[in-house]
Amino acid sequence: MKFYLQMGHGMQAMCKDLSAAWGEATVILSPQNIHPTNKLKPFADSMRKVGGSVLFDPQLYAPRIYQKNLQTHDYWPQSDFTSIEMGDCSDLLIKLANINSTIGSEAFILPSSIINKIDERWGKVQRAIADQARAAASGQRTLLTIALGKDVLSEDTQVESIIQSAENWDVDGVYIVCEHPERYYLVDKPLWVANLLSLVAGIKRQGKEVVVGYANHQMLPLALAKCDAIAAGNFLNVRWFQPEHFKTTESDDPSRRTTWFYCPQALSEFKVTYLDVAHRAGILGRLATPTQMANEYSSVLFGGAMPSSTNYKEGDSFKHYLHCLRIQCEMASKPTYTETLNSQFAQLETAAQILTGLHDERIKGQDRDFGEICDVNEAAIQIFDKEYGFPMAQEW
Amino acid sequence: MRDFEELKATLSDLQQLARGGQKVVYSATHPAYGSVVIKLFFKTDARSQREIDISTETDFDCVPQIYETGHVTYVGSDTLYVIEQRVDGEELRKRLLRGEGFSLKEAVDFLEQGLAFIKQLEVKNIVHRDIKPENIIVSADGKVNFLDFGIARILGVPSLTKTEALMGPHTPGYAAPEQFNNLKSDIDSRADLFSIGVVTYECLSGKNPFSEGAVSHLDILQRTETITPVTFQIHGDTQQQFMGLLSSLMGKFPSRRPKNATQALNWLTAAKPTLQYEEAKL
Repeated sequence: MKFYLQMGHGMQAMCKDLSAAWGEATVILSPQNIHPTNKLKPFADSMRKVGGSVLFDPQLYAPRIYQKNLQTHDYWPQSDFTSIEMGDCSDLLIKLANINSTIGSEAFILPSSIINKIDERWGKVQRAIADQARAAASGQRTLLTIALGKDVLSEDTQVESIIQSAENWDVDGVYIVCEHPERYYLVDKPLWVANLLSLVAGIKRQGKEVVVGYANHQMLPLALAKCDAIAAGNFLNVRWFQPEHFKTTESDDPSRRTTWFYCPQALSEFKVTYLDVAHRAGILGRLATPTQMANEYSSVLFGGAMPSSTNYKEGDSFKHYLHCLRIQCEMASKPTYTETLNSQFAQLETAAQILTGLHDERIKGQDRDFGEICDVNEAAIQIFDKEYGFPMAQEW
Repeated sequence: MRDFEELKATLSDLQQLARGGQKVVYSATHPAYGSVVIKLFFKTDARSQREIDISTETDFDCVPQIYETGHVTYVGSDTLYVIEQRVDGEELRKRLLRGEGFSLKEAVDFLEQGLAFIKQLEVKNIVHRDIKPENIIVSADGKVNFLDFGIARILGVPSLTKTEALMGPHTPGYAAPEQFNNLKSDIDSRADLFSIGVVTYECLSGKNPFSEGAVSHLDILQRTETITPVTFQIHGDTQQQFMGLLSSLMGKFPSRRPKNATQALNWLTAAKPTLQYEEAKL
């Protein structure tokens, strides 16, 4: 499973730095964060200079909603939203195709509005967008957006409706973004996670590419569904899909920002102040980044000094997270389904054990602690294995 | 028009086999065709005609051949009749009622023939929609024959079921959820894969996973939509590959099943080396 960068606020330089460090990086461009339109190409060109590539997310999730930055783009509709929302959007698709051509994107992400209930009409609209895009795309690979409101993934019947509908879309793949239930960053509902796995697997079994945007490390089991890539970014608003993010230009309030450290073996993030507690307790080493994910961004935390006294900054925190997650994505896919399954369970078991020890010392990740989420993901994987394990193993 | 009595006079050993709302069925010996089944349709509706058309226009090797169709006067009415080959063997339901299940080898052979039949149907864009023990005759040498295209659907031609109908035609306990829920756009050969999976499972376990313990028709449908059949260890299924395939065939949604009969046959072929038949029994 590949890892893409989901562009968010203040990520342009970071994307270039990471691509230079990794030798490659695919960035899903955010028109909300790069505007107006003529600034997209220079950034795409600069990414290519450091080995990177780009995709362009048109972010037409709620075109009626005023969003200051998105309004500045040439393609953004000024009127007749109904036609666009009903799939009559050939002019829009031509504009988007031109942008994709100009910036040299790897594939053409087709727009779609957020949906809260899947029905036949939605499937027809999606199909209409796909059909019109085929002509506009001039042979470029097309990924049709599936933007899901918080309740859709709660019901497996709705998931199946999406899968059945997708059979009729003439596209090369899909770009899935899904709002989390109850506004939790880490989802605590096993069935929701299992249904996301089913959605990805169902569409993958049709031979289509699947990219899941606005993701985070809880989505690592998507490797079991043969997901092609997940994308994540710096702030939480690009690690889970929040529709209101496209209604406001407010960036995170600096006064509430905290610097976090992602402990990949515990699948959890901790405030640096809790690393200080671990340092005092003499167990900071348990949180140290494993060798294969060690990086220059976070190594300073484990040099012997009190973590909060080091020069570990917010930007380092983001780069460290993205660096580790990229490697975890690569490591998540194994040669067989069974190996991938066992690897996922082992990862969760390891995380649970580490967290138990840390919790005993009162070192907790608060709302980014994976303690309870280990059980959630284990249950979700178990459900998925029962429902999709045999075909996935056969088709691996 | 001939009277049915005239037709009867040419036959010997005439016996009524079954009588339903749509038709009456006899067995007999015909002077030219030998052992035959004679079906008399009370109404020549589109569904009856489609059943006859499918049988006459196809040459499936596991479906009885139709020798003759025509009209006779039966109980004073113009009645469509069909004379078709009578297949030697036993209705699978009768065997199940005696409590005689399949060994692993028999189950594998049965499923393989069933999947080959569905593969033939796929080529003709036909979904049988009524694969169940009552419509299956197994001959002494193990050859499996499939009967009754009464509710078959030809994909790509107008459906005979009203779109707004609450439910599509089905047999509870064997029909896939998308079939009885009348989700026409979702119905394809994967509905038949579901049914053949259920029948095979029942022949191995002795129980229908959805009907067993159900109190009503609706209860069976609800169970079909909600429960996952219990997987059990079959002696000889050393790596649970055969049970895995059955579970996949019985997937609640089409997307969880093999994509088509060819893929299911490939999976069965892949599972065979893992099966040991010597002591194969439950």
